[in-house]
Amino acid sequence: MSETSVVRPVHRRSPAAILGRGASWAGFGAVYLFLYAPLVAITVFAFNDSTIQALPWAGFTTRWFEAIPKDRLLISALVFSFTVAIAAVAIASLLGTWFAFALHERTGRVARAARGLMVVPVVVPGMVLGLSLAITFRSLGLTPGYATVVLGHLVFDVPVVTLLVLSRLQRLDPSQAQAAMDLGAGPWRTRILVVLPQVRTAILAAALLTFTLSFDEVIVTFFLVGAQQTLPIFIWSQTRFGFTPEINAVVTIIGLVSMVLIVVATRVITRDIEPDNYDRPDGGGA
Amino acid sequence: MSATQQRAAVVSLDDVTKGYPGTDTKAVDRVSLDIREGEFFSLLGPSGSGKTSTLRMIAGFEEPTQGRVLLDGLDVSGLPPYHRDVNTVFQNYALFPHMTIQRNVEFPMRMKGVPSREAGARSTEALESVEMAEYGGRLPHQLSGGQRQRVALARALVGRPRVLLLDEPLGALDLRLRQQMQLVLKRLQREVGISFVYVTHDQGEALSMSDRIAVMNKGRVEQLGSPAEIYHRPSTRFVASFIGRSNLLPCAVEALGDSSLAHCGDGITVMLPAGTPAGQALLSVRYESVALTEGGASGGFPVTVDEVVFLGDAVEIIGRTGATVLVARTGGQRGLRVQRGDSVEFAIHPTGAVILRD
Repeated sequence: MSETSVVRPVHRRSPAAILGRGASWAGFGAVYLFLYAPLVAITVFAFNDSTIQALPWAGFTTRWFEAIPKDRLLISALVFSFTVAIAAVAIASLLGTWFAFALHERTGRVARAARGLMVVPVVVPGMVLGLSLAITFRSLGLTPGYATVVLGHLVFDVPVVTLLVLSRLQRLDPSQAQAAMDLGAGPWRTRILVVLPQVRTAILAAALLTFTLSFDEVIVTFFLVGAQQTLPIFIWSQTRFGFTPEINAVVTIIGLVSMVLIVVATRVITRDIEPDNYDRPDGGGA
Repeated sequence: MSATQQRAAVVSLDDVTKGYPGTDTKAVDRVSLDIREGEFFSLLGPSGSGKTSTLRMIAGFEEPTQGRVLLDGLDVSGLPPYHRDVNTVFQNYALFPHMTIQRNVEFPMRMKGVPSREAGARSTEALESVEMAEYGGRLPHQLSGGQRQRVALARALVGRPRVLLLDEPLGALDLRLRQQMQLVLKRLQREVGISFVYVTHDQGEALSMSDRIAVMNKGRVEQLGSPAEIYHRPSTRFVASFIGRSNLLPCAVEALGDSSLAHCGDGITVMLPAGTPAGQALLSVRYESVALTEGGASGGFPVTVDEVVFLGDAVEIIGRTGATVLVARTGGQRGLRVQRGDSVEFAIHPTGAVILRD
């Protein structure tokens, strides 16, 4: 009896309660609307058959998407951004993984300090990073261009890979490496045959994340580019002259691709947490 | 005495000490012992007694801060684990989760450069010896704890190491499985003839499987001997209380020519062999060495029963006389008839009493 009396009032809500619930849902909705409405708006305008970025809806078109390949400046910026991101990701994955192993295998004071210093480039404001890199490169006599942009991106890409791979290494059971060495594997074969396969998903996730980081980075890049612009900088410079809906189409594609990459990366990272249970003895029957 | 005692030492610890930075207490404190060819040797002790640190120094995961570890008479100081002919079964098995069972067991042979056909045949054979051959294609997480345990054993033994180290390998298994695995381990050890060094805090495991046991406490070896010696002739208070259940009685020992007599207060006296040094001593008497006797037996003394504990295969009777409380363990029918508050008579078997050095 007492159970039903507890349950029943929920079914008979008072008008005030219904109003309160409604208001709280509305508030919730407003925040999400604020977060997602711009994304929706830009996607809608990408398909709107009008050069004016405003309602009313003038009809559905894909011509802005069709215009993309014909815009040589846009394509060259897109290609440049891709080549920068791919080079930065490739180098950062190698360097970051190497650093993560090095930091993981050393326990001294120097290693701890080095680990702390890894975080700095990730959290330092992009403007500071960009300006200081620009000054450094100029004093070294490096011409602004592809190399300076890639180097600039490595400054934040390498720490991201390092920290992600390092955190995976630290969750790895230390007896894995010990068992490998115990069974006759030297340090290199231990790393390559036993440890690396167990952190490969972290490396993959880090690569996906750094790709999206590099691809749409603006501030640091702005200080380091030469004549050839990256896509985000090209788009930004276009907006100053009132951009065409073609930009909406590009941004819609990039937004979609980035979201897919980030969803995949987070999936990989979270799924990667589970296999820690692999070797937990559970005492189950033989 | 036994055959193993004449055999050569496979592992020798020579005055081995292990300290860690930031602490003065030593994890392992001047341990010297020999582990012989083909021997099942246990390091038994509570957590923190230094048994695992000792094992890790033999494996090469840690280096002694003092002293030497010798394998087959050669000092292995500074030699990394992959150059030591010693394999370990880890407490959590440490199977490689990304490799199939077959690949796991082949791993040590791949590292030695054994041709893949031979490696395959030998790993299948090793898996057969632990009845796991049919699981070769599975991944470790698809096996139960007991099955992973067997695979870990096969992987550690397939390369025929000189010594197999086992770090509490049964700790994560339930009781029934643990007892089953004890038999598997003992059989395997006999079949392969490799020296086993077995770390455990479980006296039952150590007593049932070992040829010899080193009882460790606070980094030191308290006693080293056969299970029967350790059980029946404990040499220290720690060993007497850690292994089995003992009554500890402070006594005054008196020499009587052809024997000695211990006066333990409250009218309790125990006959001891001649040559027992006179003076104050601590006497250890196993629960089962205290007998429930009929009135008037020699050496018997009256007690009042405080409690009777039924254990299934035996009964423990807690008796009091004056300030002394003694526990007698008896499997006989008489124990079942004793009740709380009864007056009965206890007697201590002379062979069951041991003088401890404290």
